[in-house]
Amino acid sequence: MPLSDRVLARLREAVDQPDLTDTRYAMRRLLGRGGMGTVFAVFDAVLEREVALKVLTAGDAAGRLLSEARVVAQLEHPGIVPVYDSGVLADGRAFYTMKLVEGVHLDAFIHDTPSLSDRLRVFQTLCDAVAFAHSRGVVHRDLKPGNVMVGPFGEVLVMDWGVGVAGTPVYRAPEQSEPGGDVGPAADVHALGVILRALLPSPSRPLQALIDHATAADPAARYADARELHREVARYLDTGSVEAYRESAFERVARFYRANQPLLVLFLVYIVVRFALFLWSRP
Amino acid sequence: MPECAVPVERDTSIGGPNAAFPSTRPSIVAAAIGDDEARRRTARETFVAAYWKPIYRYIRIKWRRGNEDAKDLTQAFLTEFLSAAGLGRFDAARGSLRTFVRVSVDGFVSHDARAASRLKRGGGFLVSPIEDDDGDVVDIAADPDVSMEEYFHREWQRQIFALGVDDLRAFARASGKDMPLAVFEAHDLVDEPPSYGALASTFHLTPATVTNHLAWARRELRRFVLARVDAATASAAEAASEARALFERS
Repeated sequence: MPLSDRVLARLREAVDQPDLTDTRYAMRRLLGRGGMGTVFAVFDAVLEREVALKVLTAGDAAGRLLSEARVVAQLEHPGIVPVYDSGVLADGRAFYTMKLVEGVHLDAFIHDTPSLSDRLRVFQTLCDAVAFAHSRGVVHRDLKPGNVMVGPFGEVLVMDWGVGVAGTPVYRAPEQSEPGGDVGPAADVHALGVILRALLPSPSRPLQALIDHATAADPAARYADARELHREVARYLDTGSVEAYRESAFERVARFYRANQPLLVLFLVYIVVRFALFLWSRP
Repeated sequence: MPECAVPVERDTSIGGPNAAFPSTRPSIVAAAIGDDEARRRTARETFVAAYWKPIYRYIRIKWRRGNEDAKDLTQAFLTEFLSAAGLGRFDAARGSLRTFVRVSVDGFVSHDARAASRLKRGGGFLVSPIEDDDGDVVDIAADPDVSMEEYFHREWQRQIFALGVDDLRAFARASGKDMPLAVFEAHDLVDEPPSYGALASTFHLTPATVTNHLAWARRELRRFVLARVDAATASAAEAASEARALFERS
């Protein structure tokens, strides 16, 4: 008697569930699948709270998941999801638990059409978290909107630090596709540039130049790391200009006008009033 | 590749409850066409156990052949395919073993007349036909959203799980785990599973014991299924990819 479709579906689901026998965790629900693993919401019976449990996908090496857990544990930053626990389950699969992040993925956040400044601030926070990792010698290698969560208060959390992964085609830097290619922080800068392009469907010329600079084919032609990119975005938010774009004199004047419009209007009013007073007081 | 912990006694059912795991990994392809007689036999049995039913059902559905015709074609295909001229042409760089098998079946059936004549002459490796349930074939074919490639993949997955269940049964009986097996069969192998409470009442157990029995059976089933995937694929990378697809819920 062959297994029916319903039985097959149930068996697939049943054997994929992590075996939580003899652990402090109880199964709640499936959250999703990421690099190397499946993530479930589980209840921590000791601390009486829900946490996220990432368990190794069938066919992947346990060492990689535990090495991911160790890497993330070294990165204590508000923009990086903290790891709580790690180990091996009764079914032999490696796992680690981490903070259960409430919020939406960055791609869903974009669909809510936030303002340009909100998008740039979220992007800047993302750059800040990645810059911190770069300062600790860690490269993400698979940055994409699906690996970034935006919380209800605008907090940004980067997930899936699956060290050694090959990246996702659209976001992958050219050097990641080369056998033995030297993959460093510039690969993350490339992915950040592609993410920024997704965040800004119609970028201004300076922002377009910034994106082009971040996604240059040659890693040496990009921003050196996420910190440089972060500074460039901050410069844009402060002044409207970026180092990657040389403005014409007209654009400089126009930007000066936009940035100082109230002051210039006041000054113009002052000149007009003074001129009127001058004409009125003339004998 | 884990060894089977159960003392094995061969029977005539291909991939049946007493089928042994192949003892070596890396390539079922190399072993199935190699010079080592024992390894070649084991690899071919493993291959036939994993592929006979998917191929048979695929021929019935895609090529619209009757029951006996499809059995004969499956037999003839496997006889010809399990050789250096068939399986030996597999190139892992060009796709998975499963895809290669499916494409090869298409090529073979499209030359049906040639296959029929070879079947009459007989081949070097004979496989026993496995009875199948025609109603099941018709039900699956009725799904218009499933491509033939997906269909073949799903039938392969179904067979891998069926073999895993057979392995679990053999292991449970040999280990004195008849009760966990019975609970598992009563819950996970039926279309409408009863509640844990109803199972506990039926088997005179506590709900916690039911939970533990199911956890044990699923853990062991997972192990056996992965071992079957490992044995029926051509490389570790392909095994990992097939295993991921096997557990990926749509």
